[in-house]
Amino acid sequence: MVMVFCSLAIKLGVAIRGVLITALLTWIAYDPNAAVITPEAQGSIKFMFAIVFSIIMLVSLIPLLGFRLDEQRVAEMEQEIAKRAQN
Amino acid sequence: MRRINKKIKSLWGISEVGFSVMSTMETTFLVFFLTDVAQLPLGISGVITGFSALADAISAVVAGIVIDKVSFKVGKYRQWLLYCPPVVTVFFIFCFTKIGGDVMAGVIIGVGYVLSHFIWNIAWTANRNLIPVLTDDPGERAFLSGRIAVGSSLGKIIASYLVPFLGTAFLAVFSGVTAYTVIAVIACVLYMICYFIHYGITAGYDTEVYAGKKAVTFKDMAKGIASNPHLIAILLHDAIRLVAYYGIAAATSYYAKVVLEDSAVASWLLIMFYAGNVVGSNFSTTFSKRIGARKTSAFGCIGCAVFMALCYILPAQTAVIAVCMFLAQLIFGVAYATSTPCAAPTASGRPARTPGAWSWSSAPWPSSWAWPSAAC
Repeated sequence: MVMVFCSLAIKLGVAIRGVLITALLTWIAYDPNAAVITPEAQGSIKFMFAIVFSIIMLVSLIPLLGFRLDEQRVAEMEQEIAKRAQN
Repeated sequence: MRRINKKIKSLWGISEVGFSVMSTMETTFLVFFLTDVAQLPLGISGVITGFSALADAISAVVAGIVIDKVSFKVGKYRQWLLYCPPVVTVFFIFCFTKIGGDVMAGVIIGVGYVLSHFIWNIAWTANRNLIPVLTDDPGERAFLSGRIAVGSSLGKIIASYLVPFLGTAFLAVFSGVTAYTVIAVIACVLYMICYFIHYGITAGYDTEVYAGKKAVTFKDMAKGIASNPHLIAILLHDAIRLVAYYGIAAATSYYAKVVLEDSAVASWLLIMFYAGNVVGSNFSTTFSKRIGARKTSAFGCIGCAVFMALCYILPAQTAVIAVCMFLAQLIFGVAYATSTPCAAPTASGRPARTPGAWSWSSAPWPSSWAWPSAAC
């Protein structure tokens, strides 16, 4: 169960990454054929590369706040599962 | 008692080198190919990468079901290693072509992406599922899993160097698109050879006929997830941090071209990026045991964000950026392997602080749902 959905998380990550990069490139009016590389273009790509993905990395911590399993809770869960199995 | 033979001891894991070269070519260079080499409009590039990857996500589930349901007369898993790679090759090459106008080219690339992924998901899952079939011994299983991980890392590093290097070298002979098509052919041939080697060295294994085994349904899985907030939290965390991870890898080509004004240095930056991840991954278990998988994951993400942000502040020089990327991935690598230890107790009741005690081969779900971190 976990593994299929972990796979989905990875593939979702790849999908969002693809859309995000092309959206950002559109936003900064990226021109792959530009004869001259402007400081503005360099600044925008630098921002995307270094800052945008750093922010996303930090945003990933928010769902982690919902993960509150400790060993005591896990032990309780094990007991519940064992009881269910007996019944 | 099943035990691995000498050939398996020597060559197991090579499949992952081939697979990883091919998959890294796609995860790291496809977006750049679409926008800068094939020069498709950004909207079409976004649709291709977004929708195709979502279709791929669905196909991964279907691939798991296929593996569970289908058995051959001569075994269950090995034959996939023989049948799938040639088909993958045909469709994967289409991902790096430009045939017809922009829309037509986009459709062909998208179809190639979805179909190649669907088939490689089957082969990849079958390959992983061979491990418990090859040996009963937990030590040998750990050895085989470890070799797979090493192969995967090696493949990423090879692809990081090979693709930009060959891309530049082939430009002297071919057009930009053709150069990438030829690289895709090379990657696919390597993938096929590596998988065929796995097929060859496992001859005599996986001969049991599987019939009437009850598989867990997708509905059961969805129900289990929906009723498990901890698991949802972990999966969301994993998905978002991987947006950043794959995003940095894909954005490196743009950074090299526009900021460093030298596309060729992308290879060195990516080698440092993946090498840092490999080194960091080795410390994952130690950290998880000491501070818990959750804190390890948070530490890895924060550390990675800090060092990547430094790339914005520090001078844009290749050596400086390479070191920052290495350190960012060194720390992220520590967190990279923590999803399984975090997720395992949510499904099986095992504590998150003892990841070493967990192994997917003994997990309470079908073995065909093996840990898919490399199957992107």
